[in-house]
Amino acid sequence: MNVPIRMLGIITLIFWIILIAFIASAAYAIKDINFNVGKPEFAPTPSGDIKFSLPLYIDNTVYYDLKGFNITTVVFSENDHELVKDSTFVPVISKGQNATIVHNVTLHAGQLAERNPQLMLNDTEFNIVVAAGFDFAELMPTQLSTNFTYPWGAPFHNLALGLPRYSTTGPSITQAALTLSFDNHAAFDIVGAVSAKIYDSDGKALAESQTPIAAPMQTHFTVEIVFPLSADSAPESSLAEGHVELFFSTPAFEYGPVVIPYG
Amino acid sequence: MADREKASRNRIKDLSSRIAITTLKAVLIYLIYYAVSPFVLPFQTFIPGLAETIEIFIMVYIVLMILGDLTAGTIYNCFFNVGKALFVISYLLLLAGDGVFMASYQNFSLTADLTLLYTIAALLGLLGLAKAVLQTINFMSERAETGIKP
Repeated sequence: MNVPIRMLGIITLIFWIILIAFIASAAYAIKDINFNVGKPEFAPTPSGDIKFSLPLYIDNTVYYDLKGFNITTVVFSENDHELVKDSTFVPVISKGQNATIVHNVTLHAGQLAERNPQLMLNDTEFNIVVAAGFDFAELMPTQLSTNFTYPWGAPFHNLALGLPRYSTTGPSITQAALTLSFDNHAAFDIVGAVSAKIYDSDGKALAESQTPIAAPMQTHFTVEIVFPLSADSAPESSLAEGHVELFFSTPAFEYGPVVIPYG
Repeated sequence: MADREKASRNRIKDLSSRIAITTLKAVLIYLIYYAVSPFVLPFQTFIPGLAETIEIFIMVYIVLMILGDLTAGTIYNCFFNVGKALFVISYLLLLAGDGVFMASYQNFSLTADLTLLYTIAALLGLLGLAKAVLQTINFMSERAETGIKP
């Protein structure tokens, strides 16, 4: 029985050596994988969405293939509300391969405006969590994750209406004009139109108008909204105060109504 | 009288050679650990207390090995061999926890599922335990055949 026991001991020792060598080489390999995250970029797409591109540079200089490479990005708002989640899958990054993966996440501006209207008016910071999962050496499911913040500029920051100015022809008012202004802090240009509806102090709709807007990114934008008033409009006294409903329409998104009191 | 003296001398010789071999083995294991430890040091940043954990394991393993070698040829050797195998298994089980290894560095975090590796290591530990049990059975049967008390 001594020989089988000795053989068992030798086999166990050989397996231990193989296992320890594998763990050591795998640990060093993970340490040596060059994993760099490039500068994230926000850019509008022709379809009107906002594309978030994150370039990833992976230099697999180790002895093992990285299989089932799956990058998932989740963009959270400042109050940890999930805004968007997207994944990119790369079946294999072979040993010695230098891979550049551009991971795209599309922020649908229409959905953002609909679900988080405050993002249209207030600057904030997005929390972005990027997780890269892969099967390392076909034995160890591994995940590398990082998080960073990205400043979100509101497209209609400081949205304001000036005091109404009236034009009169004889005793009746023929038109009212209000100055609309905002700062486009977004990373994209705003080209579209603003539909406005003016109400008097009793909540009666007096007139509506549509004005084109073109606000390049990071600029202050001002436009005069002119409401033509009919002859039987309310007297000037009832136009002293009220509110205006604004509805913005661009190829990227539709946003509104935004109610701004005047007077 | 001369036979008794010879037997006593042989026993001392046997014991001293055993002590020498055990010391050599212990020193060799510690030297291997000493040579390997610089490679473990970079991982200290990610896994605090890694070097201490390995050191404690090596110490206990060496102590059990010394005791086992010194008591070779007795039933205590079997106890220490089984104890050593059980220590390896229990140490692995304690170290494994839920099998998920987590480490973070700056704002990067690494999560690795080591369940399969721990399972293989625990199975190897069980193989070691099986060997120790077989050694005990063999020792007892040899003693039964020769009629010497264990």
